[in-house]
Amino acid sequence: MTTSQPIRARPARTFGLMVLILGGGVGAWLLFRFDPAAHGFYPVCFFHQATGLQCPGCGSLRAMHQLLNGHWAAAWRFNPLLVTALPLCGLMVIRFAVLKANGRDAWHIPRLWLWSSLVIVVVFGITRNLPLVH
Amino acid sequence: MYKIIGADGKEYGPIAAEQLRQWIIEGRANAQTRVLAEGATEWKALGEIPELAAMIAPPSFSAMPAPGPISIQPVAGPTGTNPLAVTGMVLGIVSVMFSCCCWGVPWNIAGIICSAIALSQIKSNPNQQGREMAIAGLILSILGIALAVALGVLLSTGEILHRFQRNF
Repeated sequence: MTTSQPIRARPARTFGLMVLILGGGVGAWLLFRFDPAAHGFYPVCFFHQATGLQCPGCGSLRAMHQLLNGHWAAAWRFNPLLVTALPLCGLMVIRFAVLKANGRDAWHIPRLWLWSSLVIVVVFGITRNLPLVH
Repeated sequence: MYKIIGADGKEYGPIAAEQLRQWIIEGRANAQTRVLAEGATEWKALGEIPELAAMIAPPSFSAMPAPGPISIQPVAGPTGTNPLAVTGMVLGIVSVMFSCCCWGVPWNIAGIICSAIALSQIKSNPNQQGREMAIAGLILSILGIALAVALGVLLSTGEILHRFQRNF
């Protein structure tokens, strides 16, 4: 008698994960190699073009380029939200791994965290365009 | 007692009906799983064996007139929070954040797909949590698309028209 229990095969999940890792790698290399501030092939923000104001995501590509090249201060100036969010995302991944290892519901994220992150995004988008913050 | 072929192609068992019921609940076996009943000579799909097919549908549904389609449906997955619901909501937030860039693609599209799949999964498996997260993800992703389209239209009509007037 076989004691181990059948495991459900997840080919779609593995494929998706591989696409994600591959895409992330290529994207990171492009961002590392080519500065979005100097190269025109990167997508441009509609909101910034239309209004001249900065959306919450504005500057994140340039910030990523600076981060990948080790320039923390420059990255912070381009988009402080992104620079703050990245280590938090790392912490969330660690939390996920720890919960999973303990057999807990790793996908359970307190709703408050998600909703407050949305609020932070919106508030950041407003405050960064106020003349006071400079 | 029954033997089954797992999704990994390996043979498991013999196990008691109660154990098999547990595996069905946990999503390890479903209507398509090949089963060899004790004494039988032929492997059959789990859904074709009446006493096992009854385990798939909850008792309250066993009285429904069409047992066929029920047994074909994929069996509910594990309980807990639906991963795609969380992913959908995170993508929804990201798609609002980046709605201004290249029409918010791919965040909003991915958010809608994840949330929609999560909703249908939760619908077929009410034990899973995260329905309201999936709905939030869907709404936020659609909001992201709406913002992107509004900005795109604003940009292409207003700004470009303005430039043309200036240049010619």
